[in-house]
Amino acid sequence: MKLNINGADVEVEADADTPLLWVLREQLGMTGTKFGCGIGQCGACTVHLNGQPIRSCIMPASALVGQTLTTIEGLDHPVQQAWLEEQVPQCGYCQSGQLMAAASLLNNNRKPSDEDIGKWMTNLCRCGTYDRIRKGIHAASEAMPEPVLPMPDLEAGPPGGEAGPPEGETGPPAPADGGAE
Amino acid sequence: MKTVNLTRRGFVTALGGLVLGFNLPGCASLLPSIDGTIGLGADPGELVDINAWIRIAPDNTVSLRMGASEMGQGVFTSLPMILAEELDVDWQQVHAESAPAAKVYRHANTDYPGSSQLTGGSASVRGYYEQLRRAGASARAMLVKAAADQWGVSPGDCLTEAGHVLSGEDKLSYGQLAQAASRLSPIDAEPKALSERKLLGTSPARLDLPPKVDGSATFGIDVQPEGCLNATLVQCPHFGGSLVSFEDSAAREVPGVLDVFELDGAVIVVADTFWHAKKASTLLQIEWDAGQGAGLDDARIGEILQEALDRGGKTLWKVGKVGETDIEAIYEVPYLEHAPIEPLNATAWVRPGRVDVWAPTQAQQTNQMAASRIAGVSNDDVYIHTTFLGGGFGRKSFNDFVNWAVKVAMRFEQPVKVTWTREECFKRGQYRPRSLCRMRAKLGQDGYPTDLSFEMASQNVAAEVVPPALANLKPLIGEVIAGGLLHNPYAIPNQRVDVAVVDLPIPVGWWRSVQGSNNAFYRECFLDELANAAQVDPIAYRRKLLADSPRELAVFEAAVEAAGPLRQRQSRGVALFECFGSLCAQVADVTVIDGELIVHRVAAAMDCGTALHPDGVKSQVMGALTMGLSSMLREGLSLSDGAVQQQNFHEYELLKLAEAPQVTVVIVDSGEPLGGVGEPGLPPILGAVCNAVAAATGKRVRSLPLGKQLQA
Ligand code: FES
Ligand code: FES
Repeated sequence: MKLNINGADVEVEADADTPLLWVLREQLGMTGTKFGCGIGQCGACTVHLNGQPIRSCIMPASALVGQTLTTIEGLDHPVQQAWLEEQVPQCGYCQSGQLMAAASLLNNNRKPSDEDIGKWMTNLCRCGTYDRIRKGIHAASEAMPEPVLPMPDLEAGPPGGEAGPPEGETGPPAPADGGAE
Repeated sequence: MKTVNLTRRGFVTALGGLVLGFNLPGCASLLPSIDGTIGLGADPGELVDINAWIRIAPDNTVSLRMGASEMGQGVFTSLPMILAEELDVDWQQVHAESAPAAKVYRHANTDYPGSSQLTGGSASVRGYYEQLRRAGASARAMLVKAAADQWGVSPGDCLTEAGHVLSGEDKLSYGQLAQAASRLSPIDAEPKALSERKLLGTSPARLDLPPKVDGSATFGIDVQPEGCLNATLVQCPHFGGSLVSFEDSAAREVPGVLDVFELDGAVIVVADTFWHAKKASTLLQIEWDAGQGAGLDDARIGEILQEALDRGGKTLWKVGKVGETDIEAIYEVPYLEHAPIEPLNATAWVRPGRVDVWAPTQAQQTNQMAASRIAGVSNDDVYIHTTFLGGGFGRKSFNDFVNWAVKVAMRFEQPVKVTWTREECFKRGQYRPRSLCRMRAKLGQDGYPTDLSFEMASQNVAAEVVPPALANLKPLIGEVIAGGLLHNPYAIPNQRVDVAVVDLPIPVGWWRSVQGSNNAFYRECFLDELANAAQVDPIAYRRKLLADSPRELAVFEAAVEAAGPLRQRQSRGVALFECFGSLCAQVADVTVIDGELIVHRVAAAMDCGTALHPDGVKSQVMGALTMGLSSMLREGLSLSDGAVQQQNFHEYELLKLAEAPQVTVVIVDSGEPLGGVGEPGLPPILGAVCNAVAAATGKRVRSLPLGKQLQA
């Protein structure tokens, strides 16, 4: 199957049910996207699908042919600079996912409130960096240029300005994979 | 690919017990260069060893080897700072990388004699401080001597600045001097006086963050040596149970699956990729025997703890004599999982006479010893390559996940990575133990306690890692179970602490802040109960009881001041706790509306003696208290037939950003000996939030997690 990742078309061979996460990590060697739970709960595996965050551990790669995917390796966004300025990461393991989620938030909502941030950012951080993540998002928001008027057509991509939980977060968690038993 | 085991390179103990390296010209190419061993910053090219810690490239890059693991706590910044300060180099020149497992990289233990290469106990900065200062000062003196010899002047006529030696008009970079310096004998030089410091006490940007914002940082799970196989394991879910039989035909049908076999009571699936191994593992049909675990559930464990409490334990500490008491409460905390977001994993390659391990490990020294026993090679033939850790919190100080990789890899010629599913991590943890604490007190006429006793029942977190003869010694239990209850800082004339150690087949271990993760809840909440009984404001109550403990009082006052005035309709709780040589006080401001708790703000004050990297200290206190808050809201494991019931994050909910408070951290610089930083920020939040909840609702929470307790 052919996937479009970070602006490049790549040909991969994978069983139809292989989640995008493992295609990225094990077939393409793109290990910036992380595995944390495998059931859509932690967000460590967050990537962008057509600009919107998805949890790649529960998304079969075969369903994504012909769509635009961005991973942390292809992200070039003011949040990354803000993360360095605020010295956000600790262990860093969750941070690829946090950055992908934060970048999509800011792309959808240039000036998010703390409440907007709380609603959107559902990725887990065991090191407890949340307060700095919030600061980092505000700092990036300050640093980002004002959107050029008229507002860009958001039809094809994110819902205009409205924050919402990333996909894979709505509804009950996907069933666990049988608990490895 | 070449690696070197430093114990063979002749690093010696010299200079009055200091461990410094001999110089080995031209050995730079021998350094571990396999993917996975962390190195930060630009590739420094050819490096010359000045000693075991310090290597310098011709371009003046200074590469520093760290014996401690970077697991988020910032040691790949704070430890290099100690060396860089003594060396007089620019922070921009500094490159940090992980050291192999070797005696020279052990740090002095902080609470007991000896040394170890173990990242835990909030001991890295404290434990390495003297060693690194001396290693830095010695290297600087050698570079100065090399320059002075070349110029024909005395070393006393030379200065150092930003990676250069200067004398009059002459100036040479460390890079130019490294070869000559490396041929000199080690020089014992005095480290800088406090007043001469330029770098320590400032907050340079962390060295490890650039690769953590672009996805390039290598964690254990990212290691994939050429030809590496991927495996996962399914261990017995019942503690004290065993494997009866398994059916693997469906698992073997999964493409890419290479082998399925039983190993030491677990079923191992080996495949080309982890995804295939994981998928196959879910298709196994396994029959387990619950064994000793049969019937062991929450109710039974509760009874066992209660019986132990009622039987009474050993008295670990007392002052005066506790007499009749009239206030009594029993508190309880549950088993907790560490849940670092990076699941357990390790990669091993076992060849004749040599074992390589790549792992996100906190415990290189014991990993090396265990791997050498398992593989039947000498300790020196085990090469531990430490990666970044995607969180550790104590869990990755245990050997199990490394041992599994070695055991599985022994069956293959290729390297094998064994990655645990999240479900496996929950199932076979080294949990923070469930415990009970009964507290009794008597108040004097003035409302302040005259008598206070603590009786605890708990498993012993040290039992698995300390030889049995030592595990139940009073000083050890006094620290790892009852720490913080003994010698508590409040002036109460009669006090006693008893601990009943309980044996259960449930594995327990160090969970960030260890004893603090329960004892701050016990002590600080009960103290508020006493203040309430006396009808005295809890802040004023503590002030009075701390009147003779100036260091504690100062940190407490700093937190109260940082919190500022309480907002309308919010309620406040305070707590203070000391562990790992540092004191932390916290003030939490909350509201409870319709049974829903909102923690708005937490102000924390931290006294770790001297903060070498103040921003790093603030970051750790923020992170620790956020993790503590997470633990008290919804975390807790339940057991049935000796098996943990929570399988993944949907059943064991961690705190999310929306619930995370705004945090203010102030540092109290007492100038006391260096204290730990990674853990002491956790315990106080447990007391502060529960005390604030009681202030808001009148409801005293005596068992964690809070769960739905606030909903009428
Ligand atoms: S790995 Fe946790 S959400 Fe995908
Ligand atoms: S930085 Fe460690 S899990 Fe978020």
